[in-house]
Amino acid sequence: MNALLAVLWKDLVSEWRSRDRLVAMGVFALLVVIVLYLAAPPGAGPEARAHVPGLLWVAYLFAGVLGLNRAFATELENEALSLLALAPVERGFIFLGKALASFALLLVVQAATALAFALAFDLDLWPVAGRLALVAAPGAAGLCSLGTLFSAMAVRTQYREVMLPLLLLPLLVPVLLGAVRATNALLLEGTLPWPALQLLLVTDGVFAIVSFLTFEVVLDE
Amino acid sequence: MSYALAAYGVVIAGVLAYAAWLASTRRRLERELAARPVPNRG
Amino acid sequence: MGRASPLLRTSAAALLACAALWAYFVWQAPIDSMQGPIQKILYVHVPCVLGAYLGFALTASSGALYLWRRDERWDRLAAACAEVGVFFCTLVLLTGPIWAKGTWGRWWTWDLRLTLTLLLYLVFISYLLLRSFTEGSERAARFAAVYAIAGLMVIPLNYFAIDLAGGRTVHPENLGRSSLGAGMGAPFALGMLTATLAFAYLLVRRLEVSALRTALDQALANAARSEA
Repeated sequence: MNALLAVLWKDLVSEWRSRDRLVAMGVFALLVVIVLYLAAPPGAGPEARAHVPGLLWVAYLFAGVLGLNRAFATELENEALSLLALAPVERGFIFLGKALASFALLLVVQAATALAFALAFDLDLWPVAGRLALVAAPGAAGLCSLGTLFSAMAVRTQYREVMLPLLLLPLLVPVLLGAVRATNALLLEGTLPWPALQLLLVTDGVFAIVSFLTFEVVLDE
Repeated sequence: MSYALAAYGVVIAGVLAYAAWLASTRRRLERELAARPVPNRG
Repeated sequence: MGRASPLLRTSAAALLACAALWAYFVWQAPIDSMQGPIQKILYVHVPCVLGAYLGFALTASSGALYLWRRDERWDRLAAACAEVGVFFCTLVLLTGPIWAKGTWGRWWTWDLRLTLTLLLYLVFISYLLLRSFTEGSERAARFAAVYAIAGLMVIPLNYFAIDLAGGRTVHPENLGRSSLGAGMGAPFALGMLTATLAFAYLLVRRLEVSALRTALDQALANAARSEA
């Protein structure tokens, strides 16, 4: 447990000092929003507008993957990966610390991106802000749990940055579909569909358990 | 009708092709293995 | 260095026998009143689906066994099953659209089962890429096993996810024994059996190649060591 807090604290503090991941994620998400706006201009009729909530998740996904790619970067650069692996703690807790740090960063970026999205697409998000967070958070959690696991793997492969999205995206489909469905319903109808949220939560649970247990085997040497 | 034949053709040709490729890879590897001079652990 | 091991010979023989029987029954099967002759693609398409899922299930379980026992042979089995599985998955994605084009006039739709199969395909590919690009074969074995297990967990989740998104429309519903017309049970069942035997046969061949590669690597390592 202490390991979890130690890792989490270390990641958040070092992030606070340099803010490089946060800024990179934030700027990238903003760029994605702009590009998406150009791809789906507001005046294009109700059919095009119906896809807008899904586009929000595209932006979240890109930002999340970017952040996760950097999750083990400092360890790698300073050759601390083996040290981390040799620490006499349950590796699952190291995983949780790392995942929670990415999760925290992603939540911040999600909020900022939602704001940018509302401005770009002329949406009124205030009435649904709370419930949107209720959808965005589990989505981010699913992303960060599997994402941290695969980031630890990707860091040991030849094509580091490409490997993470390659591994992550096919398995994120349940998270994406649930989140997009929920966001769609929320923004277009003002309702929060329970089945979608249920799928998200179940998926998050499965991902968290699998990642926690298998991290033991992934962070090695 | 021709669609059905095409599908069956694809599958059967595919299985045969894959098996043939595996067989030729096996032959190649066997040759390479035999060609290695066994180091004498005298 | 025998030409063909007994196992290979048996599996090849079984496959040929079953395939012949299957072909006969497919030929004899009644022509569907609604779809016409193209319906017979069913007897080859669904067996390929079986091959693909069989491959993935075996890959994931072999991976899990590898993590448990740390015996390299399980890892080799996992790798071989993944390759044979992805082969069958390719066949599914080829025969499916052929049937679709003939029946609905479109090569592809984002229907539940098609999407699921495509996703399975992508997971297979990512699995194989992970194996290729990980530095260190023991590490590759571990990572691949974890990925396969994660992938296995996701398959049922994907089913519910796509169902939720309203993707269950165009693909023919699950064929229970009752919905298959008379005379269609035999070619269908034989098709499934043939696919299983084809999987086994290809797997045996693939494992031979795998064993030879390992032997070659060991020989090279020995040679390098004795030269040093």
